[in-house]
Order: sequence, then structure tokens, then C-alpha cells
Amino acid sequence: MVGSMLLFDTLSNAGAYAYITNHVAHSLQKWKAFAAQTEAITKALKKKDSAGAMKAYQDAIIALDEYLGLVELPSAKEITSS
Amino acid sequence: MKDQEFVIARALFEKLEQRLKDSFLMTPLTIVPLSLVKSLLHTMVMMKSFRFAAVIIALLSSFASAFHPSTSSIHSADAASQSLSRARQGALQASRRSFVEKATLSSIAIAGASLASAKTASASGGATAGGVYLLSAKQRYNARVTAGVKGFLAVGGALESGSIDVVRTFFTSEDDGSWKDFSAAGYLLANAFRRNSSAAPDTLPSVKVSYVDDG
Repeated sequence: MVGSMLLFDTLSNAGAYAYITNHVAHSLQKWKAFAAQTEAITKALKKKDSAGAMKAYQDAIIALDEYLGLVELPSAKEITSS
Repeated sequence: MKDQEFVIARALFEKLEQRLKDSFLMTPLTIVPLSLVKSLLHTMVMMKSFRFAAVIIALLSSFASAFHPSTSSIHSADAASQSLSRARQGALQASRRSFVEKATLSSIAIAGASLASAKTASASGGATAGGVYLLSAKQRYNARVTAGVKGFLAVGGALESGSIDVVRTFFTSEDDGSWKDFSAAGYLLANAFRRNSSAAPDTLPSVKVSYVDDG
């Protein structure tokens, strides 16, 4: 009985741990996605590819909004308007 | 989960525990499952799923009411006085019927309540959520990230108008609102939501800089 209780408690903690780790991984993942798009902007600008830079910028804005949501900040538009 | 919801869940569980103590269900056979349910509820509270915690509490309380001591004592007295009489069989059938009715009605009510109270859980970070570390990290990095976002949006306008100077300033400057400051603060803020506040990310540029400054 005690063993099953300990096993249950361990599994419960493992579930909570997985939830937390997943959330952390997401915020870093979104930041890296945004940083990659920003790098793409600079690369496109070095090649004087303005259309490519605009495309990378639009993708970066989407990634930025996802990141801001995960770190509990308002969206980019809301930050600009405030 | 909001604090108010947590208080409600705890009050409901204490009420249920008291009801079980009053009834004959509080035996060694039921104490262990009850403690398991307690652990499960604790986990659900941790994972902010108040809906499922409420469902379990409601289901258990319906079962506890079905086995209430008033009805069980009547049946035991009945069994002692009359052996397999029609009246007793009828009472048993009525008891079973009422139990099934109660269980069915409570299941329907629980399903309705769980659907009605459906809402998005507000996740607030890792194990340090709401703690001093996360609050200080937010105070430290939020302003820098916000300034960086404003600078980044200005780059969008500059790209449309073709003014390269604004874009160059954003990427080469080291002031607040520039890309260098924004990238450092943004990465640190994302790390503030990690599970363990004592394990510093040694690979971060700012941490490396602080090691160099210290000696």
C-alpha cells in the first residue's frame, strides 16, 4: 500500500515536472525562432534583398508575439500602442 | 489557478473528508484510496486543472451520500429482523435504485458543471512561478524587452520606407531598445521561466560577462 502510494506520488510529480519543463522549453524555443528570423533579416539586408527582409520581418513578428505571450507580456501591437 | 478557487477546492475536500469520517466508509480499506485521491487533487491543483478536481470531489461526495449511515443502519436492522422477506428485498431494490439514480444524476450534473466551467488555465511559468526570483526577473527584463520590441517594430517601418540608417542603428547600437540589448534581455527572460532557479545558465553571454568582471 505504502509502495503504491509512493509510486503514485512519484508519477504525479513527474507529470507536473513534464508540464513545467514543457512550458520552459516553449518560451526558449519561441525566442530562438524569433532570433533566427531576425538573423534572416540581417542576412537578407546584406544581400540587398528587401523583399526577403520584409518576409523574414513578418515571420519574426509572428514568432515575437508567440514568445511575448509565453513570458506573460502583451503583444507587440499592444506594447507599441501603450 | 486563482487563490479563491484553491480555497473552494480545499473547503470541498475537507467537507467530503468529514462526511466520510461520519459514515462507516472511514475504514482502513478506504483510508488508503482517500489519501491517493488527496495526492491526485494536490497534483491537479498544482497543474491548475480545477475542473477535474471538482469532478472528483463531486463524484466522491455522491458515493458517500449513497452510503450514508442512516440508510445503511436501516438495512442492517432490517436484515437482522427479517430474513429474505419480500419487504426486505423490495427495500434492497429501492436502495439499489436510489443509489443508481443518485449516481446517474450526479454524473449528469458533474458533466454539465465541468462543461459549463470550462476555461483556459492561466500558466504563469515554471516552479518559480509567482516566486521572488521570477518577479525580480520580470522587473529586470520586462522594460528592456519592451524597449526592444518598440525598436524592432520601428525597424519594420524603416524597411517599408527604405531608410537603412534606422535599421543599421538598431542592429549595431548597444543601448536600450537595440538588438544587442533586446536579444540578451529576451533570452534571459525566457530563462527566468525555467524550472530551477538555483541552476544558472552558464552559457548565457551576460553570465559569462559577470564571471569576467568578478575576476
